[in-house]
Amino acid sequence: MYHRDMILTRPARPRLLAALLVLGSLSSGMISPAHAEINEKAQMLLGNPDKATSDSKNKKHFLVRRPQFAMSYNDALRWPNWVSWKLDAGDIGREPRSQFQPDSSLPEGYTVITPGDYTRSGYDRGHNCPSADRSARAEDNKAVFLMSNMTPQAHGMNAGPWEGLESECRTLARRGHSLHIIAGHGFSSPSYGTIGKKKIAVPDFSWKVVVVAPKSGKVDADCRVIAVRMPNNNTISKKRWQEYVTTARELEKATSLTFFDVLPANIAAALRAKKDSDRKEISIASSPSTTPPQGSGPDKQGGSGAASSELSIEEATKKGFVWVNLSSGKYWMPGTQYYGLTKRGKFMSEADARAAGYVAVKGQ
Amino acid sequence: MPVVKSIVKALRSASKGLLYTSESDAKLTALAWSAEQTGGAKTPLEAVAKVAGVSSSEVKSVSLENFFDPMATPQDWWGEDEKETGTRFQELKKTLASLEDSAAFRVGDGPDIDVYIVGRDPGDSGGYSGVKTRVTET
Repeated sequence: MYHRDMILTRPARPRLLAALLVLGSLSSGMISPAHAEINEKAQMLLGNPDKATSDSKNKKHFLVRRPQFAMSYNDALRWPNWVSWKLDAGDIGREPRSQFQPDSSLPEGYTVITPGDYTRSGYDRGHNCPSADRSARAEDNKAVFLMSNMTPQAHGMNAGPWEGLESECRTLARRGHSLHIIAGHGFSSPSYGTIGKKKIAVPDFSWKVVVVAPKSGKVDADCRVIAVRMPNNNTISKKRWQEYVTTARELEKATSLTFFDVLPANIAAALRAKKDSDRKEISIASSPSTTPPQGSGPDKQGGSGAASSELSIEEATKKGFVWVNLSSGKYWMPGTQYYGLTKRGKFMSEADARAAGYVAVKGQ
Repeated sequence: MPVVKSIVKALRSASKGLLYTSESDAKLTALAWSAEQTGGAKTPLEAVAKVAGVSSSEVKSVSLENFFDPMATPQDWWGEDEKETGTRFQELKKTLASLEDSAAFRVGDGPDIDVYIVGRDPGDSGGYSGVKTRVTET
């Protein structure tokens, strides 16, 4: 159950809201959060991009607020205009994946989409709020498997660079950041194709805006913003999410949405203009990327012994690679302070590192 | 022409036209491995690792119940299509359960995961049979 009457119908005064943001975020900005904020208020802190309302007659902009995420559901498209959620390390756990189910809580008169409505369509049931972002508790994972959280996504995008950015967000969350994420989809022209008897619209592109709040939790003009727009087709399966970086302002123009409407105007303007680029803390040599879908490319067998500067910290940790700091000639083990983070460096197996003359950092 | 094991014929017919639901939809394809193909593997997990070309540690097993539950156990929102498919998945599961130590074996971490649902053939042949499919988990 969720409370539709908890919606803010107009933005709270900026100063008060900023204070609430700081207070609310401080408690979740801790490095090892035992309890993540899984309540309705926490999921929509960046605003209401299309001024959706909880009036069931507002069928193209129907506001749904759950503890796990907020969304503006569009009954005409059969998927959300946007879904917004907060991501912290405490949201990520080991719950087994739930099952796809129709969302029976949509108001009467709305078309209920079932998992079968996507079968043989040529498109994936693409999660807006991903499963792994809500994997700490079974009831939270169940909520993201409701079909109202799905949009037809080309497999090459869904399992390719879209998944790559989803993984990167969780990596940032595990490092202690609080992420505010909004995702949705758009059209390049007025007409669009549909799938199935219930005519589920097929979008031309998917977009996402990620605001990375630092460990203190404060959302301000200093926050990193990752905005992407990815074409909804299979040709991009081997591309990296970094190739689709844009600004929130460009996404506003492409979708008629407004981001950050509840933030102070100067902060909103600053965040809208940000275009993500390689950060100082992550060197060019270690920019995270997606791995190609299984079964394709030369790495199928695990690429043993191959040095790689294209892996994310998570992927390299899984492979048991060490991180060689090329400037110092010393290497770091997974989980250590500078693993994957020095300015000049690369991942490789420990055997290769030693063979090349690199030495382990003492006292790890 | 090699003789097609009767179990493989049964699996082909049981899986014909079925699609396993994950984020994507995938066919289930019947397979048969000889003892040689699996390098004399003593367990289905080892057989899968050998044929998939990965180490055993990269293979995770899941019970038949667990793997087929979403497709075979009726849900209150199921319509006629789902019920029909559900019955067919029950049959497929039963056929697979007739193989020894059968389970679903997942290879790798995703987002695309090959799943081999295999068991040892009854008797001394050392062969394995089953079906292969794929799930998408992002």
